[in-house]
Amino acid sequence: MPKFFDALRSHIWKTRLEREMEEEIAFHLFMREREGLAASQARQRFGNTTLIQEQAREMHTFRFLESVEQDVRYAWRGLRRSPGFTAIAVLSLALGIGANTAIFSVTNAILLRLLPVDRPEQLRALSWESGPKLAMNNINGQFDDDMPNIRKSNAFSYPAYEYLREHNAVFEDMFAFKRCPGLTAIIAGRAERLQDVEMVSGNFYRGLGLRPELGRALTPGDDNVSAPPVAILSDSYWRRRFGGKPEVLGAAIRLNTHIYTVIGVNPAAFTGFAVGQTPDVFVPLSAAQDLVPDVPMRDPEMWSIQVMGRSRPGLDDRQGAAALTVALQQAVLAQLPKKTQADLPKVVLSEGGRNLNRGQFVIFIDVLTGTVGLVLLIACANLANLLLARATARSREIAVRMALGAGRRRVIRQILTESLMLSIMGGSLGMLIGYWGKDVIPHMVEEGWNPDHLAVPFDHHVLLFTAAVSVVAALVFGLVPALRATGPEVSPALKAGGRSASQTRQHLRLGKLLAGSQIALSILLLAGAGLFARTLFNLRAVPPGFNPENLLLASLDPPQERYAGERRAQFFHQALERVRAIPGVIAATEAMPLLANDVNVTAFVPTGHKKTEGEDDRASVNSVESDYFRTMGIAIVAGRAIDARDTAASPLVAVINRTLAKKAFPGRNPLGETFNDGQIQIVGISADARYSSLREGVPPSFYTAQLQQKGNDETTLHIRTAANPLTIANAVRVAVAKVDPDVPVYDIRTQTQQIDATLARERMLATLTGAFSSLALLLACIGIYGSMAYAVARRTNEIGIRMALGAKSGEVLGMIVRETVILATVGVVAGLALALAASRITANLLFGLKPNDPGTLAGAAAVMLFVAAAAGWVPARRAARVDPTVALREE
Amino acid sequence: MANFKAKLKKDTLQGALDLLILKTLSRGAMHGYRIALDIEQVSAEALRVEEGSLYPALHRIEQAGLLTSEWRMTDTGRRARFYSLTPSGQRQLEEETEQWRRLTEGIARVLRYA
Repeated sequence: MPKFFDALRSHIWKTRLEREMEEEIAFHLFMREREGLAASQARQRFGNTTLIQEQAREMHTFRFLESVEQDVRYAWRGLRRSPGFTAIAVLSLALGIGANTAIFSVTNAILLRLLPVDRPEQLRALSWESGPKLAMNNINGQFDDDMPNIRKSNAFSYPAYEYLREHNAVFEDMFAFKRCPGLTAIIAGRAERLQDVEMVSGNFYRGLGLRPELGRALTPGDDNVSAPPVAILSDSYWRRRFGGKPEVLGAAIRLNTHIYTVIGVNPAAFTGFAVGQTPDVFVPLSAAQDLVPDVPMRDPEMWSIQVMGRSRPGLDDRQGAAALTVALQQAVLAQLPKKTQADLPKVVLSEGGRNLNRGQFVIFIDVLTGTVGLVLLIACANLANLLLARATARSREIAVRMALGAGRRRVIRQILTESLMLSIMGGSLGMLIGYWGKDVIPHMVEEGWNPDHLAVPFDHHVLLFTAAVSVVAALVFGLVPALRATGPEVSPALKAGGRSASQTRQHLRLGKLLAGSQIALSILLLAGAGLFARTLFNLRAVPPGFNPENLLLASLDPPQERYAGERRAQFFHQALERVRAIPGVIAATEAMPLLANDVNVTAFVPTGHKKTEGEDDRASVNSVESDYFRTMGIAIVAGRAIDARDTAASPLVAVINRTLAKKAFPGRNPLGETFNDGQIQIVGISADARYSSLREGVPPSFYTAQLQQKGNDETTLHIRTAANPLTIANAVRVAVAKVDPDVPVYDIRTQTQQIDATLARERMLATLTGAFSSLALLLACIGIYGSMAYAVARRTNEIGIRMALGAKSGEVLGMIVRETVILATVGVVAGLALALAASRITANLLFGLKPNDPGTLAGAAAVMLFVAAAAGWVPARRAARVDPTVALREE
Repeated sequence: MANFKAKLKKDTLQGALDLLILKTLSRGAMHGYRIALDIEQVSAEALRVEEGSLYPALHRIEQAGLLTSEWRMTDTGRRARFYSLTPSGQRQLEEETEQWRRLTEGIARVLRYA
């Protein structure tokens, strides 16, 4: 090896070699001179110094290049001689490398890729953490209370943001933004649903260094309630809605009450700050007054905007956070003076140049990366085994070469060249597979009715990764066979015609070790796949508590300024009447959808109840229209359902579920009781239904009457149909349009699709680990077959003797099968130990079983043993058919 | 490059120069100038080593693993590259000395016979 690197070094860093040569020659000339010779004479004697240097350098590089060419040609000849081996090797490498490339491209897109803005590595996202006694009243943003004594959020108030900016000694600039999810826009007289709208501060574009690809950026002058409203479109929305025409500049988009003029289009690469949140339209923060009137931006109690800053080069994040904390606490004390007793928030800085919600994907990506890494490792073990058999078959040739004076390193290099060529071919094919597979995962987790998935770039990071993986793989599977083939045992190989007994035994041991480790790693993958598959199965088996079949969901969000209070209720009443009249509709209502990860939690305190310290008085709430319980198929077990009697004018009522009844009224009849300061009376008790997710148990929950609530949120029509609910989708659109054509119906999906969407990640894990473990199983199968077939071929002579001495062919068959099963058992035991050790990683992803679930592990072991026995059967049959006279003559 | 290859082949006495270098270095590590000087002195100035062939030869032999080199200070305090024999160089020297002896002996016999 050192010689190899020597040559490589001189190849790349010619200058260093040259410098040394120059010095050496200078020294020589100096010595001559000192000996009294005239300098000119010395130089003459030396001849042309540059030529000498040239010659010496050529000595290094020329030989290196020449031998590389030799190796490549030699390896190519060898590979072409055995096309079967080459095909298996290239294909298994291609699958392994392709899987790794596909997963890495997703990792790259979600975890690694930097925002396509100016110097993204300098961006810092601000968030804060505080003790449980919060200083602010309202948080409208991400809020984390997983830990008992720490609250975390990324939401700031606008006044606090302004204060931070004014007292900023840390950042070059600070800017703010807030996403409003889903808005209805009216363009050219047609109402349509927008994905998201991002409201951004006036210095947002300048601060990010983001330049629109068309038109101009937003400026601080636009971020002003008295300035004319303007908007910038995302590239994808511009192409989708306006056909990518430059005439879009100046177009008018009505959002709520104001008309926004389009002034620009964002570059295609910029899609927002978080995975799955790709705003269609960017407007100044001053539009908040118009777009989200229920979130008063100027109120210091309303913490709702996200803040980002551009760090100065060389700034330490901890010092920055400390300085910002001082400013934030001053702001809190000045703006929320009543909260001096509260816990003051501390600023936390995190990388702002990458996807802001990347944290929630880490565990999935880790599991998938681990899985494909193991698949590649198995493929490498497989190849090492095949190469080992190949090298042993060629041991005579290698021995001759070494006897003729080829250095061991030279021969190793040659074998490695062959490995490298295999992995370059496999890597190239794998790159294609990866390119094809990169969108598989985003497709698997997208919502079926809303095909907006993550764009996965295939950039130079991915290409570099694939190249690196290919080279490392070549070293992993090539080095051991190369060392083994050129080991100290070469000379017996010469004498014994490549069949020295000790070498064969050694090879067989190594081959079995490799096959055994393939089995062990496959068990790990099989066990994982089994656990994820059963998790999905268990989740599907959870009874939802209502009937999800033949139930259509369709969302509505009537513009607030047109439909508020009584008018909103009227709108829904009319829409429901028309929907109920559609043929095939059995019942229809309106509510927040269940099992859609939507949550609305509020306090539930029975009148007269004394709250004890630390008591959890929260309950989940859903406000529903009449006919809800009949539509959903949720039984009323006592009292009555919410029905047409419950209007805005009548007393407030609620139906509670059994779980809440048991929790809040133990041993009492809750009917007729009131809660939350006597405002609402309980008129019925319903059966239990799951709420936001199948993973959670049934939460204590209650249902209020939609007509009695003041909420202005989007709501969803629930329509029970006699047959396939999707067939009436268009009729629902028409029915609502008859009430008001400006209220678009969006996200039309069945309840089953909705539940499936919440299981998307579980399904993705189950499917992918299933597919990868099948691949691993196939590779392990090849490995076992290969090493057993090789063992049988090498031992033909021995088997011949045994049979000549009277062994029956059934006994020989049994002997080989037994060997296979022993090998598989050792591998399986090692694999189970690995699976148990790795179980901690997957624990949080499972449902309804523990990571050491005995049934799953036993199943994986059984599958593996069966496959191993099947793979060993063919060579065993061949052994049993050995004709002793032929076998003995062969030697 | 082709040119260079041809030149190597023409240099028939290359083997002899390698042997002289190895032999000289068997007395201890020395730098290129010293090697040339020693060969001249020991051969009573009958053999003069051209620097133009000496250094390429040194590098070639080093490439073959028979020599190692390192930068050291000379007695006069200048940095110089010192070459020394490796164990395989030592072995090579013994083999080549023996071959050379047989070759010259053979040639001498032929000459005598004629």
